[in-house]
Amino acid sequence: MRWVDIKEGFKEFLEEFKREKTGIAGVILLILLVLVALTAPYTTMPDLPDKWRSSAYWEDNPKNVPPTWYNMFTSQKLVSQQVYYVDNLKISHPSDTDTVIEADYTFPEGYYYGPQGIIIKGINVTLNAPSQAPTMDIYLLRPDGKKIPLLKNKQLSSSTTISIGRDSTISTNVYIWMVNVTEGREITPFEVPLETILISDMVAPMFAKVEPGMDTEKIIENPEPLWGNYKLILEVKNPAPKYNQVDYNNIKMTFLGRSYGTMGTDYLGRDLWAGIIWGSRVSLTIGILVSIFSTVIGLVYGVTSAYLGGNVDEFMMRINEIFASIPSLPILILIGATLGHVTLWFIVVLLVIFGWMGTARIARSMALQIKEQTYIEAARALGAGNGRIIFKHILPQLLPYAFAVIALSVPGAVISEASLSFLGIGDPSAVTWGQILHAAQAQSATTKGYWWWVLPPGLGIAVVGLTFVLIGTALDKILNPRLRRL
Amino acid sequence: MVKNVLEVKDLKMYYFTNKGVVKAVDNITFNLKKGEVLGLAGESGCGKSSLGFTLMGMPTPPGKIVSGSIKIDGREIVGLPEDVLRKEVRWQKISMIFQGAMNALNPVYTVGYQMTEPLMLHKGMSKEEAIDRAQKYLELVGLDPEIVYRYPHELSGGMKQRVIIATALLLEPDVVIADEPTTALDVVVQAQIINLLKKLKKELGLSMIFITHDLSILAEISDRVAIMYAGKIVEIGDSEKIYYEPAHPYTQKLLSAIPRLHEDIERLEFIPGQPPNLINPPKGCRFNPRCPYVMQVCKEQEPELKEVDKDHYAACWLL
Amino acid sequence: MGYLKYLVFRIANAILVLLIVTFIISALFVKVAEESNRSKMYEELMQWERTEGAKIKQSQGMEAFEQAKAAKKAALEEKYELNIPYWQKVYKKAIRTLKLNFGTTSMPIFGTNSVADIIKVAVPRSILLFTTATIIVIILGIFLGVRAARHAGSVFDRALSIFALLTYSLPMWWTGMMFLLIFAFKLGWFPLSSMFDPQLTGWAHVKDVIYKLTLPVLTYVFVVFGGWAWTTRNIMIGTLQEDFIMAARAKGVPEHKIIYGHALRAAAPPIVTMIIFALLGSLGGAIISELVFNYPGMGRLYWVALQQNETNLLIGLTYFSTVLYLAGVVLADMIYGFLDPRVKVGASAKM
Repeated sequence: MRWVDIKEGFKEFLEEFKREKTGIAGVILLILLVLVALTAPYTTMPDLPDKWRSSAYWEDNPKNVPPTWYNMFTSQKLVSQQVYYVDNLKISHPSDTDTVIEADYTFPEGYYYGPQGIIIKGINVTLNAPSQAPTMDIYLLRPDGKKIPLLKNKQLSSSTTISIGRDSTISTNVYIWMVNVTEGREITPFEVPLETILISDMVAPMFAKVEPGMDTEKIIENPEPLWGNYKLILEVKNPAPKYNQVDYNNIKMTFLGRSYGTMGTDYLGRDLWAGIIWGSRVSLTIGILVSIFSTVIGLVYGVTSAYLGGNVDEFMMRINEIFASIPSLPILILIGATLGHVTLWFIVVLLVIFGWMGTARIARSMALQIKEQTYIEAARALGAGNGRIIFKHILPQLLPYAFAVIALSVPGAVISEASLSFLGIGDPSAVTWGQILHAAQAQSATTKGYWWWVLPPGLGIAVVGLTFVLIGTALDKILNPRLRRL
Repeated sequence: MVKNVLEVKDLKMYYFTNKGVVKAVDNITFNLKKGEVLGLAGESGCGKSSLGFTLMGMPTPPGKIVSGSIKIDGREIVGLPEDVLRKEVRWQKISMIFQGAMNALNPVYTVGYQMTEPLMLHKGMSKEEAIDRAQKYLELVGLDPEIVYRYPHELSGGMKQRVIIATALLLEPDVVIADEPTTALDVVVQAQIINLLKKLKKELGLSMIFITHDLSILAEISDRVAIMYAGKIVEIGDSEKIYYEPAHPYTQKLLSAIPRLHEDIERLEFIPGQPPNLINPPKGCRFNPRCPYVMQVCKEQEPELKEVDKDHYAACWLL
Repeated sequence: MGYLKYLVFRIANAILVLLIVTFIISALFVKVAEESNRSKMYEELMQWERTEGAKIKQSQGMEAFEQAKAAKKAALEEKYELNIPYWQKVYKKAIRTLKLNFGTTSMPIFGTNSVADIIKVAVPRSILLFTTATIIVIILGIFLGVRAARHAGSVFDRALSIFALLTYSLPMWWTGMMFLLIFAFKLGWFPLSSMFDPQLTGWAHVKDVIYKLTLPVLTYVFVVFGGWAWTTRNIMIGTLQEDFIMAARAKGVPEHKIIYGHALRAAAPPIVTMIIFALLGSLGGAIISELVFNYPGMGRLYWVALQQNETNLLIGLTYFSTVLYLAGVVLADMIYGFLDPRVKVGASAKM
């Protein structure tokens, strides 16, 4: 087989491929996927895999919330994230020792629930006289004129983060306030039922109708939204301004949304959109690498076996059969689990070890036919060595077939990798679709209805698979004359 | 006068493919007399096999009979509904000896099953009767009757071909179409099969259409020969006439391409060019692009079959 | 090669594979166990040094302490089997595994600690799920595949092909999660958890099992049947172009008999092989899907074993999956041999 023939054949093949609509669709999808994977650091955020496992990094995000566009499909509209920096806040200094910070928040009409929580951080305190540390009171002024005392005399330090909705003291205060309004009596923090404030959403009642005569428990269970303008007021008292400085320039106040971003968040508040985009890298890389390596190994193995023939062939096929009858997934799970830390490369190697057998068998039967052809005899008569005949005369003829096999074995590799990740066996330094689904399963996302957490990663796997199936079947159709005319 | 068992008139069978209409059988007319063997020859792709299947009333999809008539033993079969064809015509009136001894037998059924199937289906025979009959015919084609219990892969190529022949004769049909029955067999077996067919013809008075691309075989067995080119019969007549006095340039070329034992020929000839594309056949005589005697009229008008001699017809403007 | 010889050969092959897999499992297990045992041993030795060792050092001096320490270490090595060579331990473990002696788990599951007993409870449930689904898939796949092959190129054929392509790249367990979201969470037609109710007996138990089984079975069928139908279709299209189909038509055999008799029967051996391999390929996916549905079979055990680091259980599960898989392969070989006369009768009987 001469180089020119190959080039000619390739051109012809390209012409035919252009006529396969599904194949073209596959190629377009592939280009899109590769672009998405390559531009992941720019379209989302750089170094996501390093940040993915640090829960502190995602602190400012709401947890388990759907994407913002979900509002278009639901009657229960969900507020989105709102962040206030120093420029968006009203900061006044009534006296030397007092500072008042006000944040205006509008709970728009028609929306269900208020924010998921409020996080205040970035108040820098230089503490030189610890006995006279600055303190802070927080109130929420509601559109109905009621004022909820959220926090009293909270001592400030540089690392202070106030997290309304996660802080049980604040939740307790909200509960006390509610009882005060509805029943008109004062209760002590010890009378507050601990389970209620730990398990229930104590932020929603802050943004709900609370009137005398209503039942506290019922409000917590089923809050009725109170729309309008709210004011979050922070009163900082700094009794010793000479010694202790409080700097508000870096302040960041986040009203956590009930919806977030393009794809929502998971249980740690991680941006699932970024995870999905980054996950495409792993999926594509593993899928392509595994299928290329296993196909090449299979081809060389099969052709060698066919060419050498006789007992060697028998022996090589026996080995092949033994590999083919090993159930790969259980063994992979066992290897992954017992070896502890598994890198992506190791997964590639494992999947290749269990992935070359089918190709080898088909390559062997094809090579057996080619071997009988006269020009192989001629080459041998001319004194060409085994290696030369295999690599120069037999393998090139199997190349088109190889491309189809490579394409068609990608989905299997992608699913295998995802399955391992899903079971919790995988590279902890990477973000993969399987791992996102693993977390979803561990947090019972399905039974809680967190569709935005479950749907996209699997869809990603399916799209990658589909891309290669489309390309592969188009190739197969061209190369397999029996199916060609249909 | 011996009666005609098969009368074909103006038969057209076209394949309707995505790329266009392939005129594989185009305006074909001929008769087959009882006890006669008609050889049907031509290059591969000239429509011989298509004609064979069309005569069975089962053109290969996407082929369809466009017009014309096929009368078997006086009965018109064009236009008969599929299940009447299946129940009353196929294999009873007209059967087929298939080409490619390899695949005409289903590998997963025994020879007996495949032979008795039409007997039980069409004649309502019991299994025992059918087996009996099958064994009788296996003996007739020179095989061990015990073969009914064997699977095709246990038989050699020649044996398979004999089984196929026996199966075709089981229902004693009026017409048998033999579609390249000796292709893919080695020469010795080929000769055996030809001798067998000759013997059967003599003993059973078979009326047969023998399709082949190999003219030297036709000389052995056929009484009359029809030469097909690009979906048309270009010459038809007694074998002797065709062999010794070929009228059509195509037939002449075909014959000079056969090596002969008793004559000295300088060199074997071949016909330059390719058989035409049947979607867009050449205007006029279809052979004109390859014909050494091509004239202006050949490129414009199609020649009709003309009587050259008694019972010898050819379609050429030279005549 | 006769059918019997062929079968013996296939079974011998399966047993050989089982031995090899057992060996790999044991080697992995012993490696892990050795590491954890070594650290346990050093921990215990240090404990001893601080208590009894210190006493000896005080009362009898350094030399006696060293001697006592060496003795203690030897005793501990004996206890943790660290004095036995690696391969010998692997051999021993392999033998124990073959005898289904997998040891115990640290936490009781299904009310027992014995790994073998735990798996014995789970395996039939997995088989029940897998076989039910497979039977449905076989019927659907063959019926639809044959239909598509008969009308190749039709709308139905195209729709089936597209459906097959789409489902081919779906992870079964993810499809399960989506089905749970849609049919159990949103529509409420099926239970969110497929765990059986242990209080039910008799007919009520059967009803409970069927109710819990439906969604997992549906998932399996949904993901798998398209591919099978497509495979059947492709093989059937090839077969329908064979000469013997033409021959059967010429013989006047009725069409349905040609399709379901001649063609399907002739296509059966390759269809069976392809399907069995597809089936075994989906075994892993099916097992993982179980855990999505909280179905109390092997899949959930896998999850438990991985989450709680129950290595013994993991070994047992791997071994059983292998046995199931190999049983499937042998079954496939049996059916194949039975369907293909070239295997059943053998080519050597050529006359």
